[in-house]
Amino acid sequence: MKPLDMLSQMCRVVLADTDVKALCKARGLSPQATSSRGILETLFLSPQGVSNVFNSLDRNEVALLHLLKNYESPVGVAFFSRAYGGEHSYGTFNQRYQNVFAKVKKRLVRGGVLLWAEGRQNSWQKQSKMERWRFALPAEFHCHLPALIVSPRRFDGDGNWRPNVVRDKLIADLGCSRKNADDQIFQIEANELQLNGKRIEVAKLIKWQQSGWKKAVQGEKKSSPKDSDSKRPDEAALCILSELADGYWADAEQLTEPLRVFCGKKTESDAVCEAGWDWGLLAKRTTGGKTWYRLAPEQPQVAPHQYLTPNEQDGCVTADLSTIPLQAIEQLAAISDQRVVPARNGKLLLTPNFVKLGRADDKLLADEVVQWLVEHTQPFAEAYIALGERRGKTVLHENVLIARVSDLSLKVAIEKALGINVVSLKNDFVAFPRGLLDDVRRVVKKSGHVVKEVTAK
Amino acid sequence: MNIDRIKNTSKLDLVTARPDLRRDLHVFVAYVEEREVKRGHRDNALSKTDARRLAKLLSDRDAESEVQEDGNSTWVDSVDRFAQQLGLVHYDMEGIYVGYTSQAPSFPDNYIQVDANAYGKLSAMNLARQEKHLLEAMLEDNQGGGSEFFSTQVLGRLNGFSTWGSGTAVVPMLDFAAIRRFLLDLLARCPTGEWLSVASLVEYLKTDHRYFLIPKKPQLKNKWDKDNGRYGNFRESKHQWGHEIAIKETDADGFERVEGRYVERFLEGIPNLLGYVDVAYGGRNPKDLYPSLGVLKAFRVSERLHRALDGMIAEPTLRVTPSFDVYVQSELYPARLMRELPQFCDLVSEDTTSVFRLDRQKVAAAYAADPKLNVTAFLESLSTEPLPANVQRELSDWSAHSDKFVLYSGCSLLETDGQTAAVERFRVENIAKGIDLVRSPDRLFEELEKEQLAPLRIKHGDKSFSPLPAKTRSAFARKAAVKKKQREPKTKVTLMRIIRVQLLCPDREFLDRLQRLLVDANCTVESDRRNLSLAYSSQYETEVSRAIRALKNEYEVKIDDQ
Repeated sequence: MKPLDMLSQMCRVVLADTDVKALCKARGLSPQATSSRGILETLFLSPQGVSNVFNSLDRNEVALLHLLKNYESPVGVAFFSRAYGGEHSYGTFNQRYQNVFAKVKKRLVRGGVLLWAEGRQNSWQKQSKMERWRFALPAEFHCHLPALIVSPRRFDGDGNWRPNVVRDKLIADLGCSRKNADDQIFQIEANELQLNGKRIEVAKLIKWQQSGWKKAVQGEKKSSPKDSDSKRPDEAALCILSELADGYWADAEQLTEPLRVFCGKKTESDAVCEAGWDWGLLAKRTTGGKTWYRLAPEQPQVAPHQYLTPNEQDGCVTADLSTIPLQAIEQLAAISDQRVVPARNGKLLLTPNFVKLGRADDKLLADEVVQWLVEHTQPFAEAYIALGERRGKTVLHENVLIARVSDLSLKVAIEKALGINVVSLKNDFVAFPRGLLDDVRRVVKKSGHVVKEVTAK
Repeated sequence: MNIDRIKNTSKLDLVTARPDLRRDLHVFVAYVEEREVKRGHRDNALSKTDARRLAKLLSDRDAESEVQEDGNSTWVDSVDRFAQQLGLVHYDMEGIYVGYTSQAPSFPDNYIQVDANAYGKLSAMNLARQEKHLLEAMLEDNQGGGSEFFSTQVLGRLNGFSTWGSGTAVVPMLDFAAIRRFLLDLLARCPTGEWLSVASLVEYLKTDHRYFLIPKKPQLKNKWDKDNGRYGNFRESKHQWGHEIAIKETDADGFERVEGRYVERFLEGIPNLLGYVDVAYGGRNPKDLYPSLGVLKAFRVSERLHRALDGMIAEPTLRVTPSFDVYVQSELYPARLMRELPQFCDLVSEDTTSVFRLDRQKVAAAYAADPKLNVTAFLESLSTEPLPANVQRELSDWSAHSDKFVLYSGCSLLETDGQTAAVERFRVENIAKGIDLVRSPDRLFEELEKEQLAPLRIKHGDKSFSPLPAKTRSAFARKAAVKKKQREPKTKVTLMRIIRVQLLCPDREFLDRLQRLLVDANCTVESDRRNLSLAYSSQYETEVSRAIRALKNEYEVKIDDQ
């Protein structure tokens, strides 16, 4: 359900006159909005009075709206039970959530900060009207939401964080004498550094960190959120801390209530944040007997010469795994072969791989790391020059159809019908996208010819 | 053989036209071949949808209305049964008893399968052999209780004896195939083209071949059957479900009542269905006994019977005119021609002489589908006269048309510098130097990478070419560049303009009265009682003016525009 449809339905159908009056009063909308639903629809998304309403909400409600902000699709009334409580664990849906619904309507709908509309009936399961009610926070109001963390502290500096979690694991796994150990996730297969059997990528490395954090918080057991709208503690902590402005920090105690709302249950915020720091995703600092947290800063920029060393004898390059940025690991894996340097733990030997270079896109080839390798090592320079000479001369086109058209008028008709989507090749051959075959058939038939098909064996 | 002629048939109901079973068998097989036809789970019958579609395709005019009313058609079901009997199609006839307490078999997933082998054999036969094959199958079918004695024929009107007891006594001993052959031979000896008396034929049989149907002394097995005699299986009644009257061998008209009834039903059966005889019915007397006797009054033997029995049915002949019309003349349905000619002709009319018209596009399409095809030779082989010169010339031109557009499917296009060795093994066709049509693109790409050629693999969109990387040397590069220059299509927006008019009323009473009048006139207005205003869309201007006019008896209304 799109927000504008919800707004239209809410203003024209769902809201009663009493609701409209209360809404206009809370938001301070002009009297015309009370008498005309069309005007209400226009004025609803204006910023007028939104901040006042938000400021009148309690912390739980604010946390709830911050959580709602993260969802693209509207939510049901059950979503609000984490803040308003009071639902029964027995009885019909209406009996269980009647009180919650009354509070949502009174506090948020009549406050004029929530969209409210009726969702479609499930074709496989009959639902009561209350089950079908859907609520959403308009994107226009997101910027007016009060801060999720009350009075965060400002400190200078990055604090204490672990930038080497991935690199330490990488060095440990590659230095491991026993291959395919249980906890080994990094390995070199066919001269390629891999994470869980696939080529290494930064996004996958971050996912690995997040899954480590998740396991540290909830152990090996499978996550079983109370409802689909709840978040895992690690996800919730990331969401909440990402709301902090630059330079601001929150202590674990301040996270307790938002975490409860985000997760739908009470959560040990200390343990969650500590695990996040342990996995290198959060930074912490201890001041005045309290531990303060925020998201870990970006990995610092490191110049290639600080982690790459050309070998004068064989022209290879050695990469230092203890300092190399994660982004550079991904880039190097995409253009070179990697080998572990014997008896030198934490070092990787890189040699150019022409096939991989050939597959690399222009953006990667123009990157600082690749250009440094080309400038400082002969094998990479030679491979790069050869690539420059050969690239773009051998092209394999797929998903195109080729036809030989030996009738000039037919050829002209096809070119006229397909416009720029037909390429004339030599000796009466033409190429066109596969999806336009029906159009071509139509032209051929219309001009009194037939299609003779030759299938490649 | 002396059989009375009937000169005046004006009072008789003549049946000289009938659906074409031979054609319909082929149409039925073609239908089943094209579609997945599943039979009913419970009744093993054709579904109403299939029956309706078939009724439209088959030659019985009444079939469609029958399906509409009853959900099935006798003729459609008969064609279905004949096709199965001839072995042209197969399906489960026995079914399975699904549950322990099942009272009747079920037929789950009973799809009709065409026996391509049997059908191919039948189609390969000449028309005379096809006719023999069909006739033999029909003569051998329906023995005992299923014979003409007890059941109404496909195109027949006469009812049968009760089947009760037909599995005992004399009926199971009778060889109906031999009896039918005997009667067919007898019919073949009758004069053709003249209406002959059925009663006279029965009389002739009574005199000269009294025991052609039931032997003089049948080897009856038990005393009961022996006591009942030769006619023990046959009982008639005054009403359809009335008291049964036994027919005795000693009755003077016993032959007419048993063998005579059989002859009537035989005539309206196989010979009528295959077009060997025409039949003529008289009226039915309410006092007649059941089953009916003497209702079939006359029959007329066709020349076709002689030719069918002698295997002399002529093959279809074909004549092509200079106006590209193809005339196909055939006594029976020319299945092979009717299958093959539509590949390169349009059907104009279908009858004993069917007319087709040669079509340039169809001829070219036929050549494109089968390069070995020679339409000229095919037509010449069947034609009684040489093909007209202009037709031969045009056919030759049309055959060349099939090569005007050749589409290569299952190929990819490779552009190289023209010196790549790996291409040779994957080449389908060389378009020009450095441009090849290739197969197995995955394997080829691997080879090209191994040769360190830094190949690019471009997967184009379904409807447009994908842009190529900069500095790519390709015939497609120019098109991709052109595409970039194209301006984004503008988003179409339709704005709805509503002009609203606001009336400020002097007091609440006037506001209420005016609003009431407008509501009665189905005019949507928004009222604001606090500000004494009424707002409405300008489209309701007429209704508002009318409402104000209605108030003019009591108010002197003046509108002051601001």
